[in-house]
Amino acid sequence: MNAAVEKFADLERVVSRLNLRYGMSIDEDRLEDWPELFVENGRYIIDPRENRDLGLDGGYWMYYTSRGMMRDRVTALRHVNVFNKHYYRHLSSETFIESVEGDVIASRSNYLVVETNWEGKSQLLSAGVYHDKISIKDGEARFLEKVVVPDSFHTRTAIISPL
Amino acid sequence: MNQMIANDTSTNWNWRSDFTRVPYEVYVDQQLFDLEQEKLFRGPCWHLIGLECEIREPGDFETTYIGTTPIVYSRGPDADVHAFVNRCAHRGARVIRELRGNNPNPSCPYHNWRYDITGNLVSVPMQKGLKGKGGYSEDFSKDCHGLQRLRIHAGVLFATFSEEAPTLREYLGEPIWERIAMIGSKPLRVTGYQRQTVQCNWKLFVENNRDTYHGPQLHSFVPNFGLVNPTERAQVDVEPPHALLTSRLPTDEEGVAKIPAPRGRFELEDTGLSQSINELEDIQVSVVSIFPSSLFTCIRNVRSCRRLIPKDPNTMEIEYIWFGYEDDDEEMREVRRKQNNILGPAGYVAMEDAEVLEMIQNGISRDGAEGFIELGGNGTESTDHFNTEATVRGFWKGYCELMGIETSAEAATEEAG
Repeated sequence: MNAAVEKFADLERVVSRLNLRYGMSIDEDRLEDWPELFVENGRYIIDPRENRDLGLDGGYWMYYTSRGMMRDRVTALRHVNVFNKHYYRHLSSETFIESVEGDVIASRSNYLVVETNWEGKSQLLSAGVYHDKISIKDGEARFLEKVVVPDSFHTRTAIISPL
Repeated sequence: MNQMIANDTSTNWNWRSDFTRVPYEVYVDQQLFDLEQEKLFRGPCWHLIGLECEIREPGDFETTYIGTTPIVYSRGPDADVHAFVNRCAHRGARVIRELRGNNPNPSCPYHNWRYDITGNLVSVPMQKGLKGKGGYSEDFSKDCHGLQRLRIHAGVLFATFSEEAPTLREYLGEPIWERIAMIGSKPLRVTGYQRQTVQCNWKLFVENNRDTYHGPQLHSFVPNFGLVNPTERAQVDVEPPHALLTSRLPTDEEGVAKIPAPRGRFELEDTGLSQSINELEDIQVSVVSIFPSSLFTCIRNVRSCRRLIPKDPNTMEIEYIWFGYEDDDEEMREVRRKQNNILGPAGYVAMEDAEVLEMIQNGISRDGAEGFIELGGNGTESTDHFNTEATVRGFWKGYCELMGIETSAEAATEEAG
C-alpha cells in the first residue's frame, strides 16, 4: 500500500471514529460529551431533506451555531424540559471522504437512529445522511460543522436528543 | 348521523351548556370523527391551506389535506389561483403524486384521464371507443367530470367545500381578519416546511394551542431561561369558535417598547436564541387559532402557518409552513433561524406539547370520565390576562353548535355530584 492510500484510510478511520463517539455519547446518555466533539464556534444543524432539496434556509429542526448553544440544549434537557424517558441508538455507515483541504476534511456518511420508548418498544426514528466538516489539529479530530439531513423529513412526536 | 350520536346511549355524554366539562369519548370515537369530516372539514368552515407565494408560476402546485381529503392548490395559466380535490373523477386515484411541482397537465396513472392544473378534465382515452366499438355514450361531457373544486380566498390561502359558508371575513371576524392582514402586509417568503405525526386526537392539539394556562407550567424552559417577561401585556380575544392570543411588550412613558434583560434560574450560554428584532408593532406573541384546525402563529420573529390534519381519532399530522418576508436581510434571517429552535418537532417548547398530548391520548379510556375546564370561571368572555381557559370553552361552544350537539344546563351538574 502506498503512503497516499494509507493516509486516506487513516482519515476514514479518524472520521468514522468521531461519528462513533458522537453516536455513543447520545446513546449512552453522556449528552455533556456531545458539544465537546465540536470546536468552540462549531455548528450543529438538522436540515430536513425536503427543505434542503428546495434550497430553503429557515426550516431547521435544530440550528445551533456554537458549542454554547449545544450546551444550552443539554442544560435544558437535563434540568428543564419535560419528555418521556427514551433511548436512541445510532448506527452510522462507513465514511466517504469528499475532500481534504489543509486540515479540514469534508465527509458524508449514512445514519439510522432507532428510538426505544419507556415501555421498551423500538421504532426507526430517522434515516438520513451526515454532512460533516472536521478539523484535525494536534492529532485530535473535532466537528467544525455537522449537518444532519434526515430523509425522514416527516417525523413522529418529537426529536429530543441530537440525531 | 346526528341521530346516531344522539341515540347512542352507551356513550352517555353529558355536555354542559357552559362547556366546563369535556367527555373523553370525543377524543376516541370513530363515529364522531366521521361526523366531524362532514360537518366541519367538508362543512361551512374555512381552512388555511397555504400561501399564495408558494405557487408563483402558472402550473405550480402544492398539495395538502382538508380533514382526510387530499387537495391541491395551484396557479392557473392566467395567474389565477385554484384548489381542487386530488382524486380522479373516474375511479378515485390520486392524480398528483408529489408534494409540489409544476405540471400544467396532470394525468391519472390508472386510465390516463388528463386534466389541466385548474381541475378541468381535458382528455379521456377511448372516449369514442375504437373502430366504432365501446367508448362513452354521446351525452358524455368532459365538463361534468372535472376534479371537485373548492372555494378559495387569495393571499393567505383559505378554502372551503361549502357554498353555504359566509365570506372569509365574516367567518373570521374583524380582529382575526385584521391580525392576518397585518402579518401579511408585505410580500411573504417561505423559509421552510416541517411535518410531524402526533398520536393524539386533533382537537387536543387545537385546545393546546389556544390554552393560555399551560404555557408557563409545561414549558418551563421559557421562565427558567428568563425568556418570558412578566410585564408583557396579555390579551385574550375569545371569538367562538376562533381564538386570538396576543402578548405585547411593556412601553415606557413615551410609549416606546422596552425589551428587558432576561432573568431566570439558568442563563443561556449563547444568547442568540433570545435576541429579537422588534417588528409587528409591539406584539411579541400572536396566536390565531382558526376553527376548526388552522393556526397562524408569530412568536417574537418566528412566523408560521400550521395545517392540522386529522388521520383517525387517535392520530393527527402537523404541516408547518415557516415564513419571513421578501425584504428580510441576512441579519433578520439569522434571528428567525435561531429563535426557531424553540418551535417545531425538536423545539424546546413545541416538543413538550407533542409529548404531553400523546400522554393524554394514552390515558383516556371510555369510562365516562371527563376533562375539567373551569379556570377563569365558566364564561367565554375576552380577558386582559392569560389565567383563564375561556378560549378552550369557546372552542367547544363553536364545536357543539356546528356539529349540532345539544347541551344541557342542569343534568350534567347533578350527575357529576
